[in-house]
Amino acid sequence: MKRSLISDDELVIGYINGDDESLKIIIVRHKQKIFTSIYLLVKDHYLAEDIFQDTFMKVIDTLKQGKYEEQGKFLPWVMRIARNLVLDHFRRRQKMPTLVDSEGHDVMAQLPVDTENQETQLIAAQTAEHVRRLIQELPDEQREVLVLRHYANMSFKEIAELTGANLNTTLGRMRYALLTMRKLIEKYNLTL
Amino acid sequence: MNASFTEDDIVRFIYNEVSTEEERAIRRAIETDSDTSQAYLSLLNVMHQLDTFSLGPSKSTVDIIIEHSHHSSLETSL
Repeated sequence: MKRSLISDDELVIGYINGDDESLKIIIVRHKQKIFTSIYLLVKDHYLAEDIFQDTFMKVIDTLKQGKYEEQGKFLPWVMRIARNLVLDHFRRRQKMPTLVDSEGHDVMAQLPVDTENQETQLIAAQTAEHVRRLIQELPDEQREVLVLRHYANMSFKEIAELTGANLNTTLGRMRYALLTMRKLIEKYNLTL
Repeated sequence: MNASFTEDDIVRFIYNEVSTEEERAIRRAIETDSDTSQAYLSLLNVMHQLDTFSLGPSKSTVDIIIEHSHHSSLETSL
């Protein structure tokens, strides 16, 4: 059977049974969705690489320990792990003492960070760059729902369960996210 | 917009999260009601713009993951 026709569940079973190739296939199959989602949540390419790596370390450890119980829901499961790691990162960052200079200004906020050039180099198309910036202008809750639905391909019901919101709230956030994106496209007169 | 459908319904339709009956009814509304059609096309356009953005991890990150898996396999077999 062509590997590309094999379901995620079958690949997971294959991997648990010792077929390392199955892991590679499943990573290749989902890496764009997972990485894009993580990146849009953390807004930092290098951090997204770390969290992506840590996510799959946890995936591997859980599978190897025989603790996987998400049959039929591999991608949402992986996204839950990724999202929890993103939240852990932001919680740790909040606990870090803020370095201030003699005038009480946050030192980190003043450091020249050439992320714009780094980000632009990494993103081939100007169009994609515009989309990224617009997504990052969204309020956190709207951005999260949009990222999880559109890029991670989770259902609205799964997103509602993951975020602890009810389904109507989740749908509303998605609607506002799409409408806000539309307004931003018009506001900046972007040709996307 | 067709009074039977909200924008949330259009969002669910665009993301294929409607029942077969709902799908038929919303399609009919898009074809016959200009407000519904406009809302649908407007949201669909945004969705297409979102599709232009996609990033993947570096090869080295994926290699590290595969290496970790390989080591885990070796530890398990010892």
